[in-house]
Amino acid sequence: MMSDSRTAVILTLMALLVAPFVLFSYLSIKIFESHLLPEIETQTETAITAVNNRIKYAIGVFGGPEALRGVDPVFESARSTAPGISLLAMTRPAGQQTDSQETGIQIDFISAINPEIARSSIENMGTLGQDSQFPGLVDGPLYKLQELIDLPLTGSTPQGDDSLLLKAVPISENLNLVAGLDLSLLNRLKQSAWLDTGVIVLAIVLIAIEILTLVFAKNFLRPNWQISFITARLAVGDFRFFTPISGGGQAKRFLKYISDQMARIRESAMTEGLLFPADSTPRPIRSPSVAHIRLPLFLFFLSEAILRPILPQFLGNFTAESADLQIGLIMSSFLAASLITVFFGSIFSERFGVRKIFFLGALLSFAGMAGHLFAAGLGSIILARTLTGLGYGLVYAAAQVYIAMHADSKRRSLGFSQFLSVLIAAEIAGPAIGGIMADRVGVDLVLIGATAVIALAAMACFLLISRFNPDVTDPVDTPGTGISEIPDNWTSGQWNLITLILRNPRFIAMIACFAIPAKMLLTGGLFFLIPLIVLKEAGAAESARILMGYGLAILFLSPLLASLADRWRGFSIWVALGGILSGMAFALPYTWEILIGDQTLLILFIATLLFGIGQALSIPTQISFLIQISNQGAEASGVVLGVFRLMERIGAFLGPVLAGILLLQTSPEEALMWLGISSFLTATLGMSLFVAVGEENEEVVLQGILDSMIKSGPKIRTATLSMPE
Amino acid sequence: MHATVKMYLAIVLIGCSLLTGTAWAEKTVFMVLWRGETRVEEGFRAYFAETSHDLNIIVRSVDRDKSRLPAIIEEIKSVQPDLVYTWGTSVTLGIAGQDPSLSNLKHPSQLTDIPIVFTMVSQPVKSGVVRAFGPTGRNVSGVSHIVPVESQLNAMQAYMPIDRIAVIFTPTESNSVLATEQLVSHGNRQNIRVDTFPVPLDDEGNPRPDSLPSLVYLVSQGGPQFLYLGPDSFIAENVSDITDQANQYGLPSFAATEIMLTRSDALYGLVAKYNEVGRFTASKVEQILFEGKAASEVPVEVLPEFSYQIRADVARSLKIYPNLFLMDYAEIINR
Repeated sequence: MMSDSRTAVILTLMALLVAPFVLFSYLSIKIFESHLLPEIETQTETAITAVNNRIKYAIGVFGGPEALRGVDPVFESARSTAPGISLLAMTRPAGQQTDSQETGIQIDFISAINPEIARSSIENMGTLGQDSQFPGLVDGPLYKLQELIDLPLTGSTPQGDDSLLLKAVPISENLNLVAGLDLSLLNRLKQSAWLDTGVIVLAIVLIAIEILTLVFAKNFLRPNWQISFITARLAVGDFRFFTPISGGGQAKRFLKYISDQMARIRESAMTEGLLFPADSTPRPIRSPSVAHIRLPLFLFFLSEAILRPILPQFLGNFTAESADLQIGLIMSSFLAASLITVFFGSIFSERFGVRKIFFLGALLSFAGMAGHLFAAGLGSIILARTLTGLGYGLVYAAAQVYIAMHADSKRRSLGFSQFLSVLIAAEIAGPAIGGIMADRVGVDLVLIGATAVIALAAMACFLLISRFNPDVTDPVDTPGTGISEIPDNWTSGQWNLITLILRNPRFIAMIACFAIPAKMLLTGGLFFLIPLIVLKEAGAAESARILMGYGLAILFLSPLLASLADRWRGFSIWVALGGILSGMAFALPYTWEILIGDQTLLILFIATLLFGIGQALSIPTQISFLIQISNQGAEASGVVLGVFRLMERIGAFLGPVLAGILLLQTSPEEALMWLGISSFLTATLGMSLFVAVGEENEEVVLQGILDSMIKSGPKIRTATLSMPE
Repeated sequence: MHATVKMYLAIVLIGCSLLTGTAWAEKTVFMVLWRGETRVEEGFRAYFAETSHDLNIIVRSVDRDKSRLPAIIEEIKSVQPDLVYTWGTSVTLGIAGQDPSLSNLKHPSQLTDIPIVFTMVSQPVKSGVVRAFGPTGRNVSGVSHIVPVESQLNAMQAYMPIDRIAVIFTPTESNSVLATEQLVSHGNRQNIRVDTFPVPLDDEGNPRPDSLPSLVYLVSQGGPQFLYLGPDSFIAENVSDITDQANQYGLPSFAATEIMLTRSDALYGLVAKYNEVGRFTASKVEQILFEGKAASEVPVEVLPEFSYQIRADVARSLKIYPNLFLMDYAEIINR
């Protein structure tokens, strides 16, 4: 019910927020498009006029067209200055020179994307019109699009797959400078503007979701939880707590009303059996809220994700030429550092509090990110990446501990799904923002932006994350009874459990065959090799758009696939199929290149999308599968997760290293294929193993059946224990 | 600010200025020239005319006779100017001398207590006036007017591709010999063959003007694409005849100095404009006299900007036309 209302409210708010934004973006692009053509016209006119003036001047000074030398480089230079110009030619009517052709126009000099097509275009144009001096070409201001569309026969001509507009500018009595405007440039620019705007809208929507979630949690969810809690306490005569009142709003006023009533009752009634605090002063409730960590966490992940499309290229500045292995090593320094702190971060978070560890992590990452700006060599960039990684690991671990503490004990998986959704939202928005920024304002400003975002994350951590653990996570539970209670000295792990889990062969098989390869593909393939391949023929923005395919697949498919997996069970099959599909996806680009021909950005996008679908199949299911095969019960899930994350990090660390080693021998496309094949093989092996030996021990299965027969269900037990003594 | 405080500050500032004499005191520059005032000095005077600095300029010319230098040096010592300005390599070597750290010092410095700023020294390092471009560490600074040889070769290539050039030089002029050596050296690096033709000398060791026609003919028969006219006083005096004859043989000329271009029918050149050399020299004098810098701190430099000049009439008559892109920045001259 609550979930439904929250979804409805958020969707309504989102629609209200996004609709004007989308409309504004649409109008902006329309305005941009209306200015685009005149701008290209101006640019082209300027370039043509400059070339024309130069030729006129040379002819005037040196006495005639025969004095012209080195015209082609000047044409090439003009075309590079004004990319809209697809051809430049100097022509004269046929017969002006003894070696004239049969056609009506003789071309003295030409520079074009495709000179042969350009030549025939110009010659064809020359036969269409009536003007004897220079027939057929559009005269005067060429670039009035409507006029040109109305005059396709005389104004434009096909240039391969694209339309070409031609204009003749007189140089002298018998000489013309012919310029061709490539209309496909217009389409490319428009397409790019639409894509960039779409990406920005999506990024803004994701950020808006985080902010709205926080607002909703602060103003609706938390007061609602407090009302549920306090009414449950009142029902059993428990007067030890009151609801903290801050700010305004109806919910706050209602809470104040309840608190005032409780205070009045407490003063007047001393009925036997009522619960009063020991020192006769009630204390405010410490209520849980998973949503409060979302914004700081989103900002933190966003900062690292912003760097994603530029990172391999940026790190290349600090290495020797073609030192792909060195790039891999630098990237691995981040992962190695996070590997250490992700493990110890959870222990420290339990001991010193999530807020302190999150803040410390953000501070370390801030220092590391700022270090990217000042790095002057291999050593300093490795130090900067290591610091960023240390902070990343701490924040990652602290956030998971926070969610474990604040999520409702019966819906903990939902809590962790919020963690995943925040991570993916940042991974979608970050590369898009970073890619566009890199193309438009440069890498330095991307780094400054990422550093500023970490500072915001640290600030949000201080403002939003509570110093105290919640009293209980379920509002109907009673503090002090141990049900859904998070004591201040809460610890999730026990060291002996770690060794127990590591002796479980199914656990090890799952880690080796599925978890580690999946992470290796992610860091070595998606984050390292794919950007390298894209940057060979396109910019950082294209790289970001391709990476978005992965994020979209995860964001939209993982909740659906995870719920299906929960319903149908058979986790090993889901995880294995995900690994197999991911591997096949990364083998696609190179296979395509060998079998079909040149692989394009579209093929890379499809590969990334398929990889995302594979990971959406396997990643969320991996955790359920792990808890199932670890046989340690829900109370050990923290330890299971800790060990899993540690092992997973090893995979993340090895990914770029392995990719770097492969790059020493092969191209990035081939290296990607080999990574994919290795994942395919390990996933197939893992699936075979689990099909052969089963997902659980027989003893455990039998014990589970017996338990279900004895126990009547957790809800009844909770209700019984929640009654006051 | 309180009026009394303002007045006090004004008095202090004026007092300091009078005591130090930095703002209003007239400075004396003693110019020693090689052949009278040129466009370099025009540029020098124009520079200071645009400033508020008062400059008293004393001009002396040796009129191409180095034997007059000792008397001028005596006069400098008696006048005690604030700065000495020397024009050309010979005058500069005669007054500022060579850097004392050189092993085989032929020209010791005649003045050490007065700052010296030289101009129009084509090879200040090779001639030993300074050890290197940049601050000299002694009471000397100055400006060189010769475009670096590498830039000159690039300029030639910009006009049209070349792989062979010829140079006529006077073997008794050290500047010319050094420039020719540099040209050969850089030409080798860029795969450009440089044929060198020294001017024959008479019995007294002076270059023979009458030998030039046959020498130019000899050069043209060798098949070079250009004749290089470097910093050479003898060639400069006869440059008009040399280029006329070369043009008759269809051999275009490239000039390394402005005077070669203005006096002859050389096709083109990359040159430091004398007027600009004078202004650049004046900026160095200004730093020393009015900005309190020591001459030893002010770097010796080559003029940072050069002029690419093409003679359109010569190009037309020779039918040798430049690349179109040169129209963007070349100075086209028609006579």
